[in-house]
Amino acid sequence: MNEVFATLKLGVALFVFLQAKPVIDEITREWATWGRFVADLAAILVSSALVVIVTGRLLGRLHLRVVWEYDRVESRGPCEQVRYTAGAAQLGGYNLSLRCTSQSVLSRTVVSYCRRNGGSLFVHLSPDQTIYFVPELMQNHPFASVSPAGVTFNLRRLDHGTVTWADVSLWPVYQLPNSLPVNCQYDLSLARAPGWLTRLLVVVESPLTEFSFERV
Amino acid sequence: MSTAQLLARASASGNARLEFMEPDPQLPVSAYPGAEASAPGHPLRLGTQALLELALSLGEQGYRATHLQIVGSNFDENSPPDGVEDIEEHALDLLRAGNRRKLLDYFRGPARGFYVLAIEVRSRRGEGRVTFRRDGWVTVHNSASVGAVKGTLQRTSERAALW
Repeated sequence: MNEVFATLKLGVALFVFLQAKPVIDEITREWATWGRFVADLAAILVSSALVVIVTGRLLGRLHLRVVWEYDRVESRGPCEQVRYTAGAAQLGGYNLSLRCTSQSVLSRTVVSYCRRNGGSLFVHLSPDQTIYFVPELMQNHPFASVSPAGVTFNLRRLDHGTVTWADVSLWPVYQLPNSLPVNCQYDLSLARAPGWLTRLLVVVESPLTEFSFERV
Repeated sequence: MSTAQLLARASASGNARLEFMEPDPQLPVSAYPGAEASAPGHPLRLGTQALLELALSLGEQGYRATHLQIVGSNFDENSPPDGVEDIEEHALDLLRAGNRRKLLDYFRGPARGFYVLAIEVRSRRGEGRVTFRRDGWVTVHNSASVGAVKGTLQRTSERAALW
């Protein structure tokens, strides 16, 4: 999906450049050799600027970042090692926060869409039915909800910066094997938008992609 | 003075409240995990905020918080992190003052990363001490007052919408 979107953005930049090139040529035509040189230089600068503007400021995708904090330290990922003793009722407490980066026209449009129509980002672990989430503390406004299956961030209050957070702890329901790798899943859905369009417009990222639970 | 146990379960009607029951006295300890099954398929776990809300509501009904069991992010009860006693003391002051907002803000701010495992309260009406834990088990330290405590917990749960 990244490649598709990058191609699309470069195509738009090229299209705009082709529209601008005759105008540049027209302005510099009467300057003979120096005019040709200036025209080429201007074309290079204009095309570079267009790529930057189109890809960054106009068509930059919305980035949603899920950050896991343990003991006030951000997890760097990609794998979080959790050691626990046999029979532990709880495996550790984490602060999950959702951060939003929206600097382009497109991403701001998506943010407005979310605020108007809604959307959600569901953070859960796979395989499920193995590790469960316990709600510990929530932010004052309820834009994150915790169920045993995971944390759901409501995107109705999406804005630039840290949007919301939830304190959760993880606990095992069944007897875990000595070593258990568990994947973190981040499922985004925007109201009435098909999945392929959602993936095209929004990037969901997190440094943490996996937990490794080891019994000591 | 003997103790008695109560067990909280999520209400089957799904209306965000707990139901407190006295487990069958014949129930062997090995069968407790089965008895804990409450919400569809899940054992009950009350998080820090739910435990604090329960203690605050009990405070309005004549109970006074006397002890908090607090742990760090790793939930290791045997090696509590530094400063946990100060946190317990300050949290107890806020609990006794009944200041919900300040109490929750305290755990969201300065005491972030600390979690409540259990809260002990003492009745001002002579029903003795009660300890409730995050797994839903409630120890009533004076078994003669189980009925009264159960009724109070039931009313509290309905008001506080803990689950």
